Amino acid sequence: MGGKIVTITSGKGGVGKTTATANIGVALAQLGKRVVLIDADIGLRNLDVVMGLENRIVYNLVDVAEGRCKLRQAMIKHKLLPDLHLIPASQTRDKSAVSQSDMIQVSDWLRPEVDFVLIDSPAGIERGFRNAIAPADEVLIVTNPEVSAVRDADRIIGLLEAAGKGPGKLVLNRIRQDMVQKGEMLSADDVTDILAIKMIGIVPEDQFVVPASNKGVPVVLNEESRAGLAYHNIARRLNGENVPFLPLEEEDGFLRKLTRLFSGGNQLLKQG
Amino acid sequence: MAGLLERLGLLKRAGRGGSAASAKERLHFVLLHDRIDLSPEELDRMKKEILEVISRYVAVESDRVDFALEHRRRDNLIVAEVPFSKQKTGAGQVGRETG
Repeated sequence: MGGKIVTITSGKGGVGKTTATANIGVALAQLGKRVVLIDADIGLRNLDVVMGLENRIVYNLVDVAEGRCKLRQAMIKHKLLPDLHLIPASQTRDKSAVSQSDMIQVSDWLRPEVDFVLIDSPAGIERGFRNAIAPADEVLIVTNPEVSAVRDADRIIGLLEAAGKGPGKLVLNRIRQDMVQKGEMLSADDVTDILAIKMIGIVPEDQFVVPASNKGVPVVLNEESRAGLAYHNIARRLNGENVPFLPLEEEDGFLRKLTRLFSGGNQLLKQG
Repeated sequence: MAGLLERLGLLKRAGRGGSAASAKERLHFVLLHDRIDLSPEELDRMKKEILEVISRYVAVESDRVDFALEHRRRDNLIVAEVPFSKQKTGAGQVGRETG
């Protein structure tokens, strides 16, 4: 049997695929799982910098596919988590350097050695995406609560179903509960209602995410971060645990304070 | 009181009233068209053929016919509104004659 191959994709670029891959990978490793992350975005590699491993790259996925190195030689060990490895993409080649059967071959080599292989898919619906989903046992679709991102997610769900990989599970990223409450942002319920697939995680917009990527330290390693906690919960769900969804309210948000004020009754209201 | 709560955004239910409502509406529209994946010509041909069939049985007021794509609960629907008048002479016999 062996490990599970999970591909993270989105259709639209810039919704947080690479950040999600890095964080779910780190969180799975924190749970004691053996994890390999594969950057399948040949020519536009990014997972190495998000992971803070960019200065350790010698070989990459294309070198493995073309037989220039052994699989082991292309696996970069994480600084803090020895059971977490990254196989980086090539930065100088393009999507045609890797085929679907290469991806299946690499995944088959890894399967007996690890618990999870996470594949970071490139944006789009062309060859790179096809390569990334070819070996997948499970697919996570990352989207944002915005019209264009949800539309592209719907297209991806259709393509996954056609490829026999569907329907996949949804990661709703960058949600702002204050805006949802004002009716100015699609809610998690709206998005599940529209896309009609299962949700595996709801990640709030979080001020710690950008500094984390600046430093190359995935936000899941920051215990203060609610986005980090959300990624941690996704990892646990992937691992088969039944974890309830986070309450999305900002702990000390303005609205939360007001709600508390009103639920306190009329006396408080008069003071306010 | 209600006015105050409303102004503070506490009475407004999520997804209603604000721009999220139009996002949802627009998405439903766009996805219906993405999902049906038919060109305008094909859609037009489909409408004509459906009308042809109905016209064999009843008199259709063809200038008031309306076809729409709609999303209801989990279903994508083709909704046809076809006003008809009863005066089609011999409408009831058509099926028997041809069949």
